[in-house]
Amino acid sequence: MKKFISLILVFVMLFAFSACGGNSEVTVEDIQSRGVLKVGVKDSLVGMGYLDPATGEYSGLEIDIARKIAEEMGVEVQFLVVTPTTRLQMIDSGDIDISLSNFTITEERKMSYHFSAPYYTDAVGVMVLKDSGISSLEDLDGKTVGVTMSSTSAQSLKDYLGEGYELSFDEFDDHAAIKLALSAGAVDAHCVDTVVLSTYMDDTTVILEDRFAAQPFGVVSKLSNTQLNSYVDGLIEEWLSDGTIDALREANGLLPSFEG
Amino acid sequence: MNSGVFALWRWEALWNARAEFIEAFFVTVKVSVFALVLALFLGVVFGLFSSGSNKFLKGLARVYVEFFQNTPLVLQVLFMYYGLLYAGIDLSKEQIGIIGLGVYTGAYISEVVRTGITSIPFGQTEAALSQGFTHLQAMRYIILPQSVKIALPPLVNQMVALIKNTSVLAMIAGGDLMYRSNAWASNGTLSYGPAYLTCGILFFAICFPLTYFAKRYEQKLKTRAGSSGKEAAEK
Repeated sequence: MKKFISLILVFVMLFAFSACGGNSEVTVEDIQSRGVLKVGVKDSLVGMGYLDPATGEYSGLEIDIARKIAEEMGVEVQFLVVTPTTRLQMIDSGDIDISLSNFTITEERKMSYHFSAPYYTDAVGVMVLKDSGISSLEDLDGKTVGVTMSSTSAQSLKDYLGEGYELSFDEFDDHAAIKLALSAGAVDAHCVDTVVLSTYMDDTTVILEDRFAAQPFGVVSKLSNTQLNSYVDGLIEEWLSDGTIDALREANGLLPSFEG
Repeated sequence: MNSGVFALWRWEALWNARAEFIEAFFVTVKVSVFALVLALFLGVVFGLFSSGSNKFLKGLARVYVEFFQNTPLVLQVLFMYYGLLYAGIDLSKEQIGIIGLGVYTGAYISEVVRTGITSIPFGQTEAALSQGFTHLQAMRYIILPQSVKIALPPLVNQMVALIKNTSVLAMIAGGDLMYRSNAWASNGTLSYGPAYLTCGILFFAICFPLTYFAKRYEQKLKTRAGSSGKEAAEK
């Protein structure tokens, strides 16, 4: 019994320890005195956040915006590649200050993280194999759809189709895995933001015409860093209204933001 | 609102989603149990092969053990998931889990069985044979009772490892505990703290009793062997 109690105590301590860790606020001044803005980005989305393996150069809309934010602060920018699951812990632990990583803004997520105004709005699309016989979203009835962990695409697709459709979803770590599963026939469709789908397009696949569910991407940061958050929000708002962001979007070859 | 990783409202959200976790818990238990049965079967069979005297069976057991011990489990499972589909073999994810983990752990268990048997000095077998025991009787009455005690602790280690290894199924959207925790942690309000902690506690709840009872059983075997040894000496 004693052993059992000490075990419980260990858990409680663990719990208390992790609950209070890393809660000190990081301000713009902190970042300036450190001289580096740490930004979580994607490395596999051409036009958004892409790391060219040949040159080691980052490019894309999110990269450009991050660079501009760092420039405003007068600091260097350091990019850290994140995945949908790692970026949460990295923000909470302070390993990154902000993240521009195709992070869709939702009301539920706002309970846990801070989001800036959307710098780009994508829409969800569905990619299937050309020879699959699936030509519209209605054909997905009874099929298995691959989505990534931490994506809102599954819910959006269900909402868009409405009642009367039987869909099952398999969640994968990344899009490369879904693409592999699609080619192997383990899933029937790949459902995610169009920006992502176009990165994985090839001659065997086709993106269905219907697009749905606007996916507004925001700069994500820790809720408790209020001063940093309002600073970043201010910059994004400013660049949205003066056309800076739209010019960057065009320069990166992205479609205009989805409306509708 | 408190946005801490372990904030109370996150635990409430987890509680509301408990059905998902319970279901995933039973997927993990089911895969573990069936994989364990397969692993024990393969382990004992190949363990006997590799400690026996038949050269062909010995070689077969070596190939099996070396192949599965020296390639990553993740790769084996991915191969079964993606590779076999191309070959036209369509296994369910639970089947992949059971076969993948069973065959992989079976290789380790077969080594446990082999070392358990060969750790008993060969002189004992010779002595038994010279006293008129058949090979089978020597195994049954002399060698195996001693081997079991030696093999039990590493055997339990392998069983626990197997249960924890069910988490590789998360990579192929297996519906197991790890997968469900990942999926839940990265959806909705992104409350990963309670999800992973609960996942850990549930794994602990399966593995700890196993190691605990195995330890007790081991103690019992030892004391029993001790007293029967004494009796024999007294006679």
